[in-house]
Amino acid sequence: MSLLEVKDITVRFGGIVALNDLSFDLDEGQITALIGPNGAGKTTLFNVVSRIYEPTEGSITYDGQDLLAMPAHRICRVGIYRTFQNLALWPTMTVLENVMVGAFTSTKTSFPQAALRIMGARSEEKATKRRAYEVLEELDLADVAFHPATGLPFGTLKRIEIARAMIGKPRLLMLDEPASGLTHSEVDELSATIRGLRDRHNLSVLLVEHHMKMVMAISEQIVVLNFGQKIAEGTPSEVQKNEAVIEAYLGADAS
Amino acid sequence: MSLFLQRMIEGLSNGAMYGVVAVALVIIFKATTLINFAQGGLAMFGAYMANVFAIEQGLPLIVGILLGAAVMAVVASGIERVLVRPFDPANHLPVVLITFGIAYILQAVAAWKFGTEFKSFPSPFPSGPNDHIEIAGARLRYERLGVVLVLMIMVGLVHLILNKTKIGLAFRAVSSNTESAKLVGVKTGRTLNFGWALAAMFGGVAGGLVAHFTQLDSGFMDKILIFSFAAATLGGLDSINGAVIGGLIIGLVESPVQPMVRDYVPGFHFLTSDLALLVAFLLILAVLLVKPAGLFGTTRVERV
Amino acid sequence: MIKLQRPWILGLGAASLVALGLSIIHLLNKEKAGFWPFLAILAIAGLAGATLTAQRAGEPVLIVNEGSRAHRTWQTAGWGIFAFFVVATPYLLDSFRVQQVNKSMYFAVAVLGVNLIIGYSGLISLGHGAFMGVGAFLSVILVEDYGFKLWQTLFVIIPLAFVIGLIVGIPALRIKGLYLALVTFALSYAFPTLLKIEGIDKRTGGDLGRNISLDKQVQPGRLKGLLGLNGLDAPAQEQIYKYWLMALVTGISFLLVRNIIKSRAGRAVIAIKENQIGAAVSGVPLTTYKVITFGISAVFASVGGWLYALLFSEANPNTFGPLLAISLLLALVLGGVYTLQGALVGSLLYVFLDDLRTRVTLTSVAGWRPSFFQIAEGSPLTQAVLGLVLILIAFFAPGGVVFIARKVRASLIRVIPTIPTADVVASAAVDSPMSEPEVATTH
Ligand SMILES: Nc1ncnc2c1ncn2[C@@H]1O[C@H](COP(=O)(O)OP(=O)(O)O)[C@@H](O)[C@H]1O
Ligand SMILES: [Mg+2]
Repeated sequence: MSLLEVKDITVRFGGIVALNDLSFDLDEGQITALIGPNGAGKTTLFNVVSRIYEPTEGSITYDGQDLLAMPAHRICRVGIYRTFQNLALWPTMTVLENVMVGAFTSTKTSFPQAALRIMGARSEEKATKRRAYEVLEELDLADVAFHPATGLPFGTLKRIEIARAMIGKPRLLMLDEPASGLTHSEVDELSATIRGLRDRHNLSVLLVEHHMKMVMAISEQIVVLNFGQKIAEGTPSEVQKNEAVIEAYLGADAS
Repeated sequence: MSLFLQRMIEGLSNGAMYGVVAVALVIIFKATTLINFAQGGLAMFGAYMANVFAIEQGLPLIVGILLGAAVMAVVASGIERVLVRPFDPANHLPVVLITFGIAYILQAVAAWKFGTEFKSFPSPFPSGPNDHIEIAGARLRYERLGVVLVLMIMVGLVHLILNKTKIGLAFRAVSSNTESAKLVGVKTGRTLNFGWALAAMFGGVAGGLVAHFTQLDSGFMDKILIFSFAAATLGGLDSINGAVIGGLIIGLVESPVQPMVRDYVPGFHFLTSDLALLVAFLLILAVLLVKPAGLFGTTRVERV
Repeated sequence: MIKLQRPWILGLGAASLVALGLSIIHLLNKEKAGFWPFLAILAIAGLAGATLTAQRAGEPVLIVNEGSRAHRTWQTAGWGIFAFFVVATPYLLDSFRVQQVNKSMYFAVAVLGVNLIIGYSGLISLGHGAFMGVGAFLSVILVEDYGFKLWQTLFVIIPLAFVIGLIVGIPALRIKGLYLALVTFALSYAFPTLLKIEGIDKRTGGDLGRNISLDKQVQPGRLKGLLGLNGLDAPAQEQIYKYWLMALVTGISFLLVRNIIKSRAGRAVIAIKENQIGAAVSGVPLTTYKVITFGISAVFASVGGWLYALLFSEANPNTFGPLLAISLLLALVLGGVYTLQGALVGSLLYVFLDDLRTRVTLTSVAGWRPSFFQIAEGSPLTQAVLGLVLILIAFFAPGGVVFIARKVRASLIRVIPTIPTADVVASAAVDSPMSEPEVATTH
């Protein structure tokens, strides 16, 4: 059963066509990879799903709902969480507090409740803090919990973004280049982490990544973009054999 | 009818002055998305300088006003280089603090050096009791028509500078995309510096024209600055033509429209000219509510 | 995990702090200077010495687990010093100076509102002087014309200020950029003219303003004895009584704001400031949160205005114009943007600095008297000092005084946060606001 249906999505920026008539389905419970050279439009698709960019044409259906009818802040309420290629953390807050913001939709304390610390504000705060810490533990980040979310290695910051997404209990997790800046052994660890998260939390994953070894190892389904156009789709072995894909990646780093 | 025409010219000439200051604001906003809250202060000081050059030193008034504006252009260029450039323009607070700091200092120095009492200031145009042309019984005064003329010259000039000179083209490149301009080798620092100087020049000329109608004191540009904010918002904060048209519209609202409503629409007798500031404020609110980009402005897509 | 090296450094720090506070209080009273200036210098040297020694060691003097006994002792000591000065200040200062402290308090509550919007939301507002005006005028008008008791007016002022905040905020906050600054700056100029409109001026008194008549003003009441006012002269009684009322309201205001910023809602507000897109994908409705925060900040400004009416029993349209708004900004950045204590510290500094600048006379510099340097008392040039301070802060102390104080504290103590567990969950925040003893004495 497909969880996310992307249909005929086109995005234009002035003269640039960032996405051209893109359609694909994402199946529930699977890890789907979205690959393609730089500038292919992968991040643009994430931004369309997050309702940050308005597509010129097309529709996106998630679990039977029309995503394009929702404002950006509603997207995570239906269970879609994401990370960013270039990070979107809050540097003056601690790592723990960053993750606590990720729990925004699953908590309720309003301004008046917070100001007067009444009606469960206190206990909810405690519970959120505990949950955030548990998520950090699960992602091996407990030792930086009280560190400000800045000045840490890039790979760590990217994992903090995963933690921030995970506390919201996503159904669909979208990861934009989670392995960038990691060493080979760290990439392998990350692969195991993503798989583990998927298995333990019944996730569907949409993964954008340039490390082909990782993509081939963990994804069940791959969509290949080039210049905003889908050029191939299929299982890792199918995609690896595809002429158009080999063409597009010729000279590109395919290790 | 003749009264209406007379008021209309009055409105247009006021609007022209708001327009010129609004153009100054827009020049800086376009390039940096910053608002220079010292724009009024710089213009005020320019007018005092004009007073020094023309009245105290005896130079022709036009020369005095231009010299005053030129001095303020140099001052603004120095301010940009020393006080503004060290800061990231995306971080608004420091620049707000600095431009307010400068406004405070300019006002304090003007009040201290030139006194706190109002000073009258001549017009560069004939302004005697008989200096007007009469059309259909309306007396169109030269001092009013002259201001509109100056506006037209200045707008022509700014377009000429931005489209025909090298630094002007560089300025447009920086305004539309600072990063790409940098990539093709435009010296952004120097270009923005030029923008500040140009804006202060505009403000300075406006100051020299306004002073005749309001008299000179250390706060005489405050009200004009608010009207110019309204004008720039109405026209679109990143549109030079918009600023001019916005200024003229506000001038017309202030002069023929408002008194007419007051005089002829029952129940609006409270609509005196003291209320102009309130009207300007409400206008800003309304524009942002209905058409936030203004009449001629553009909105930009934000990159993630 | 607890470590305490050279405890005498802590002792020296605390003693210097108390000494500094006491000497400032005595110097303010303009009594015979005596040995107080020397004590002040000594105290400053003591503080600097303690800090430098601690910094040279490369490690804080005291390292404690959060919530441990040593930590609690430190906190108690800090709060103790703070409480001592809160209680002692009105009785040690003469009534003119108590009035200045009171002034700092109404200022501080308004600055607290400004900080919510500038510091925590990252949006620049220059219109909070007008919201103070809303509070001050409603107090006077409701008391004089509608028979309210002063405290009852709060029930009208708070909701109304919130709604006015929404009306101003909604148009400006849907768009990114300096639009709020622009709108609120215009508001600062428009507000006094609004109050002088024919018709409205019947209520506001127009250019002359309105007073609360003598019989309706706040008078030292039943608590006289408890507050130790018996036997003091009338101005002292009045100022000290108002000091306690204002301290109560100020304290509550700080508590409310602290609770907000340390909560889900507060974190969402800060998240919007630091990365708008990150906040949006985490589910924060951006515009709604910005607008609500602006409304709340308007409420605190209006309560500041209410305190103004309590203190001065009058309101004048010309008070609540652009100059006041800029003063609020100045106080905020003096104390420290994006810090809770900054509002109070900055307001105290601002009020005393502003007073000082109007008394300054400069007739010669080191015996050399060029006419350029002669400044008469109350010369308009002294206003340039305020502008200069704004520029200097932007360059050299963007975090204000509180930021410096925090550095000092960090060299003295490090608190190791407690890991949140299922049973015992302690506060994870390293900075528990208001726990700094520095706050107490920085004026
Ligand atoms: N906000 C934007 N404005 C203009 N062009 C954009 C914007 N966002 C993306 N693009 C363009 O769209 C194309 C696709 O970009 P992107 O989706 O970031 O590629 P990828 O993530 O696959 O590397 C690029 O040519 C990029 O320059
Ligand atoms: Mg990308």
